[in-house]
This record gives sequence, structure tokens and C-alpha cells, in this order.
Amino acid sequence: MRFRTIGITVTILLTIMMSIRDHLTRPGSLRSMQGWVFLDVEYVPDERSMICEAEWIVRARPTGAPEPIAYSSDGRLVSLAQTIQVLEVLKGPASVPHLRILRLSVTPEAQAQGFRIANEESFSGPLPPGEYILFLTASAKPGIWAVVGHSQGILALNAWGQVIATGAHGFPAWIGLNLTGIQERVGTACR
Amino acid sequence: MSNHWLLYDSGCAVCAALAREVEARSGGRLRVRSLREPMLPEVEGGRVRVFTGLTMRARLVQLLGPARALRVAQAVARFGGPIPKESKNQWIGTKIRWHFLLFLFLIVYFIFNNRISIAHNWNICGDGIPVRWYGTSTSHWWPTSWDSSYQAAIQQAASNFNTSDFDYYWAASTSALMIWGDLNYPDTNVAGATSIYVNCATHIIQSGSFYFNFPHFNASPHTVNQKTCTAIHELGHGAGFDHNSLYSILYADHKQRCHSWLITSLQTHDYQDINSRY
Repeated sequence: MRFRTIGITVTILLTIMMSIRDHLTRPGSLRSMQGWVFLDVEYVPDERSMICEAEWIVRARPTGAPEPIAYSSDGRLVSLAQTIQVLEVLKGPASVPHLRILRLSVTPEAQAQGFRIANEESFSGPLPPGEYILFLTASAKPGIWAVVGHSQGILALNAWGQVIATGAHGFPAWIGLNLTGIQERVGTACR
Repeated sequence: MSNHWLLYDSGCAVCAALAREVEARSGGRLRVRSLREPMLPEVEGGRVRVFTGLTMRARLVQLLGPARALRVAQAVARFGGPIPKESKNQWIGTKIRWHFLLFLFLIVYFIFNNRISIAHNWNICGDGIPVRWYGTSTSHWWPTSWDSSYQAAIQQAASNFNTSDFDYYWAASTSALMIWGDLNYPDTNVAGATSIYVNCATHIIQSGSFYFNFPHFNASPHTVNQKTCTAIHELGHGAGFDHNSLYSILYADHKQRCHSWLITSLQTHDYQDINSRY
């Protein structure tokens, strides 16, 4: 009985501490003003379209700092060009060491006001370090590539080369596939 | 990454066997868990999380508060705590158990959370309370230097939004709270955007921006109706609503909504959402 009481007390103390920590780190609790951005995106309907619409499908990792290339008219959102090191080309016109991709982010000023992108939370802003399979298509800026479906065409890989996450509106069928599995799908989808 | 769980009644031998079979055949994409194990599903906007074990208890303390959590813990201790191993097959017993209390709580919590997320509200403030404008109208304005097709589309979208039987409308005003602008994002997959700035103490929207992404519209010819479709979608976000997967101005995929369906006016579900909010 005594052990049970001690156990319950310890659990409650721990959870109160976790609760306080959670409360303090929740954005809305400390910051009463919160800004959200909703993007209106053209998504691809299925994996096959994702493969066929991509001009490049690469295994890559981001390198270097993203460079601002354009701003929204109110200065709240910034278009970034991020350089990626191409480790393997699964589909594309040539073998290249680097490509530049587009990402959208809120500016530091807007970020300080509490703005963030609502419907692309998993991969909004520049890609974090790590390895990815990226499905890329042409953008309005020559030489800078857009991700198919904005974040849909981002597959995050784990250290063993398996897909562990997709971007917003991505397809769960990719999850768990390794490079060989992806290559098989890419090779047969658009025939 | 999403985890998918199939919950089953382990008191039913067929269900348990079937669940294990499903798990084996799903190739790791689906995991099974007995309903006898206390779980706390939490529905937050479009996100569902399931807490178990110590994390669940922690979450319960957060939800109930320390005093109530202590009373629950005392009740659990009074009733003998978790089901002892030897009585696992006697679910309907003579004593109310911790699992049963949790199950009741879980159902109440689910109902409560579903109630507040019936309309397509983005959980902007993290507390499940929808956001809205103070008052029955909100002002918006656009650059008069813009191509006339964009200006016509915005005016048509506002007019279509305002022809309704509820007390909420968009009013044109040069001293507007919502200003139309250019997203200027070279990714032509993105047609537009909306930003809103919310006071989470009051859940009132304060101001914001609507954007056409001109690189998208410049990449291929668009009709005024397609621009109207984009504009009314942004007006819907501006009223505090999230994307949905219905035939609605807030259907998520731009291509389907504005190039296939060409939705330029409010639909049944939009009326329901707006009427419940304003």
C-alpha cells in the first residue's frame, strides 16, 4: 500500500512538472497573438502522377544556407532557394552534383510575431539536415526547382535509406520503402 | 510519420485472432492493440494522438488538473488499481475499475473534442476553440493597379460570399483589415495563400493578407472564374476556416477545385460552417 501511494505521488509530481513544461512551451500560451498562413496548392492525385510529373527524382541532402530570392508584397513570406547535394539521380536528364530547390518560409520578422505556415507544417521552410528523395519540377525561376505538390514530393529517409515520412498530402504507400523499392516504382510507373 | 492502430476486443477470441492476422498481413503498416489496455485518444483538429501508460497518466493530469487527478488516483487505489492478472477474463466484474473509468473518460473526451471540431476549424490557438472576426463584417481591399481580371474576380468572390442567409460578409474598404497582395512565390504549384493574425486570448482575428500567387497565374492562362474560385477560397480562410475534403470553397486541392469543379460560390457545407460560426 505504501509503495502504491509513493508510486502515485511520484507519477503526479512528474506529470505536474511535464504539464508545466508543456504549458510553457505551447506557442499559444505565452504568446497571445498567433499568425497562420494557409497555402492553396495544386496536389498530384496519386504516386504515379507524382513520378510522371517529376522532371527530377533525386536522393539528396541539403547543404548550405538557404538564400532569399523573393518576398510577398506584404513582406511576410519569403521564397528561398536551397542548394541540395545530389547523391543519386533516380529520374532526370543528367547526373549533377547539385540542384537548387524552392521553399517558402515566413520572414524572421513575421516569425517573431508568431506567424507560421499552417498546412505544410511537416516541411515548411528550408529542408532540415538529412537525406531525402525529392520529386522536382520546373518553377517560374529557371535553374531553381519546385517540389511536386509543394511538399508532397518530399520523402524523408532514415539512416538505412528507408522512407520514414512524407510531406503534407504525401502518400503513405511510400513509407517503409527502401531505395530499391523506390527505384522499382520509379522505373515502371510512367511506361 | 503516421502510426495506424487497429483496436480490438481481446475478450473475443475471434477478434483477437483476426487482429493478429491483420497485423501480420499488413506488413508492419498496421499495429494492433487490445481495448483492455487503457488508452486516451486525443483529437486535435485533424490530428489524432493516442496516449498509453505513463504518458497517458501525465496527459490525464494535464486535462483533469492536479486536484482531480489526485482524486482519480485515490479512487483507483481504493478500487484495487489496474486489473490483476488472474481476473483479466472478467471484464464485467463487481467492482468499478480504473480501466472502466478511463474508458468513460475517453468516450466523454472524444465526444467533446468531436463537438468542437465538427466545423472545419483550424486549431489555431492550440486549445480547440475556433477563431472568428469580431462583428458581422470584415473589410478587405486590393491594389487598384492590378489587372482588371483580378479585381473583377475579387469583387465577384466577395459578392458570391455575401449572397447568403447569415450575418457575415466581406465589405470593400480602403482602410481594410485584410489586404490582397502577391505571394510572388516562383513555385507554380501554389496558387494563393491567406495569412491571419489572431488574438488567442479572445480568439478574435485581428488582421491579415490574401494572396494571389502571380507566378502561378502567369505560367498558364486563367479565366476570371478560375481567379474567382481562388479568391473565394481565400475569403473562406479569412473567415477562419481550414481546408476540407468536401465539395466546398475550402476543398484543399486547387487543381480539382478551380480547374475541374470551378467552385465560385458557397456550397451547402460552407453555409453550415459559416452559420455555425457567425
